[in-house]
Amino acid sequence: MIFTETLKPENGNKVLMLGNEAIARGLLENGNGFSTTYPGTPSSEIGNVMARDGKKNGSYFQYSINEKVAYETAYGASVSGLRSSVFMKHVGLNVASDPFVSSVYTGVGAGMMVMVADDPSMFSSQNEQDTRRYADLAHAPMIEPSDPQECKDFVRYAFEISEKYSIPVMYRTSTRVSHMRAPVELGEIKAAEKKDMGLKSIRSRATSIPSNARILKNELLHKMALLGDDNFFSSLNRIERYGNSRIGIITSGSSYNQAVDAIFSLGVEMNVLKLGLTNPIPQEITAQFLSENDTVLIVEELDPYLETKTRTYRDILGTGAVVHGKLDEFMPWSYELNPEIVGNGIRKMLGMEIKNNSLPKPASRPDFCPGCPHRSSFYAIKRALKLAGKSDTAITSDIGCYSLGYYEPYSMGDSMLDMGASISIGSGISLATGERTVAFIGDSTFYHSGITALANAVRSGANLLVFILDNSTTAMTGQEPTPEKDAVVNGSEFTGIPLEDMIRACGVKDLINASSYNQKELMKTTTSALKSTGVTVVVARGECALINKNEKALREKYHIITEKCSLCRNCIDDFHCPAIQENPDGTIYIDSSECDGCGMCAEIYVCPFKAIEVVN
Amino acid sequence: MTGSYRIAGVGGQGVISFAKAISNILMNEGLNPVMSEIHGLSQRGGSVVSDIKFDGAKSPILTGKEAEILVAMKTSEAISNIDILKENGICIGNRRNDNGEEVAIGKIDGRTAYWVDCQKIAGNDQNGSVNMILLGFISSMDRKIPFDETLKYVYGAFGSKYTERNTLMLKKGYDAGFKIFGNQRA
Repeated sequence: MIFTETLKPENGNKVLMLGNEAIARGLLENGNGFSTTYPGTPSSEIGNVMARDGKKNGSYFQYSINEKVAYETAYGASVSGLRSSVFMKHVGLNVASDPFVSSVYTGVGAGMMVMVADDPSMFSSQNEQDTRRYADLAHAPMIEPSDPQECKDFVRYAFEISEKYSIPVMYRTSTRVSHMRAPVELGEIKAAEKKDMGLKSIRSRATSIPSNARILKNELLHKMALLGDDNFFSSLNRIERYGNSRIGIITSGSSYNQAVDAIFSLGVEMNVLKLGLTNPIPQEITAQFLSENDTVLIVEELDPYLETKTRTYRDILGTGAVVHGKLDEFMPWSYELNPEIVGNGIRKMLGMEIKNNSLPKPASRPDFCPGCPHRSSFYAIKRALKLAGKSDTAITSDIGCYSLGYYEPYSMGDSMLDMGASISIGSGISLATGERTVAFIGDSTFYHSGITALANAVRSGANLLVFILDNSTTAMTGQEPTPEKDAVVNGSEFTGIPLEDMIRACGVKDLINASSYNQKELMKTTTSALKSTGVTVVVARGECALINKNEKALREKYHIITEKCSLCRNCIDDFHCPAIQENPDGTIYIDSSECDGCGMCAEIYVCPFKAIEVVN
Repeated sequence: MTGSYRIAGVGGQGVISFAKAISNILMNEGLNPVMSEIHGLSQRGGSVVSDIKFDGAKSPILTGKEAEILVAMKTSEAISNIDILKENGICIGNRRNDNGEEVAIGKIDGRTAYWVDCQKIAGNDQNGSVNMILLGFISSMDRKIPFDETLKYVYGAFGSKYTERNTLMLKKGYDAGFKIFGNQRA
């Protein structure tokens, strides 16, 4: 991915930017000095930009081992006087929720921004939890930009609120904001500055020991009450009037874009209260809007968060507009909104006929890229399981590209929950059933949350065969580096922690190395490892096909010798590479524009008729 | 009120680069584009779609029969995305044409389709030529995407290593379109 836009020096010129790139630019323009992340779609590109460009304004950046560690590391920088930021996807905040909730009590040093990206419709996630509930649970201020311009501009307010109230500020986006591209007017890049402060001067509030925490809790509630009345940040919120009407919409984030397009598409006259600060709800402008309108529709994705807050606030005021939303079934609770869905909410409110929404086209099933080491691993391991008569072995999988092993024809994965869970769930299954269980986990996911699970499995005597599929990268999110190897990121050096050392440190005695691209060896290894007991770890290595893709594309391509092909369809039905395709007459060919030359389809285990050869 | 494009293809074909080119040119023409793209898991090996709306739209999401132009880098993606196209919308698709035509004009689900045989036009099967040829073709047809602006963007956006080939493919795509549209651009 090329991010040429982020560092353009133009001041006042418009540049087409991705929402996430604009957030990174906003950090560079606002003196951010320290950033951390564990990559997760749809938040990853912010880290990718900071990894390349952070040092241009003196920002430190690291890919941390997981979100909890990322959060705490950034917090450490903040209490040392550096403006800091941490980025993660919504489920990443589950991992970081422990420090998040308590850090809202202790407050921060220099400004701290906690960027969390939600994924309504679950384009690339295992759930669509609504992160706004976390801001509410923790009593953390929350800012929601709607487009790339706001993604950049609102960073300023995140740091200002954080510093004025000494509190970490949640910066919440969703897929359609983080991955929306639009013109952005740039400002000047501002060098990071370290404020003259230290932990010693704030130790009583930075230590959330119960005697302090009891005081901090009330201070926190007081801060949030003050922020709800603070008009200093009123430019985050605005009322837009489309015609002359006493009917309104309250909205924020991506939902605002859908709402305005719906109003134009229906040609109705309405008012819109667009909130940029959504925790706490800004009191004055919300009260004004509720009094200026007779009926108000809350337009928001996922949970009735703004709706609950608005209904409660209206009850406290004792007057104002009638509120509609999800709780009275004007709007849906699931998936992302679009102008058509919002349009139907408006139609219902206005007593107009509801239109059938055009059904979204079912998303095509994602698959491993041509040349992916996971395809080859799964093919070999599945075959070994079958030959050993163990096809009904319980298989746990984990979060990463290899999650796609769930699909046919691989069927390698009967469970998938969260980062690192394959090892712990697999342990639980083996302890409960007494059966040897198979777990798949990627290298990055293993470092993230698999280490503690593996130590626990060894300690509890689980009968578990763990495959660590090491493709040398955090592939799914954008090929970020993993802790296994030495790396230089944004000018800082990171020391590699060898995978084997880490596995042995967890108490594993039975450790085997294999190659994803050597099917014979991987089948033999699997066959013998299935016969062992206790915890066995097989590290199957094969570099992600997307690393050095252009060089790999220059490798020799393969083709099918039609005369030798028996039409057994093993390559197309069981190996299932996107480059192997079928002609209308049923013959099979390899699309050379998709073939990456990995050569795995030419292995005798895939094509016993040796019909697949290098193109001469 | 607004105009719109859907760009569809499969992973690795350069769908997002193509959509960025269109959006940048629209921005330089003062048309305020908004563009959506999908990353991560849903991008793997499968279909990749990017939607562009401009001139007043805030939401980058296209819903049923809204797109004016569908660009499909693979024939199968034209078929699976056709429902997004207006009844009078135009589909520009990459396809091998049986009769050896560079561009075949036909219908797909009632809409006009220009089937551009990128492999024939490229004269080889080089990776990455499809998006340049289709970009050149669009600039021959669509007034909002002037050819010189397209050329300027491609010069700036991609590494100089590829400039010569990109320019050649862009020009070939433009020429194939010019034979059909001449100066009658929409």
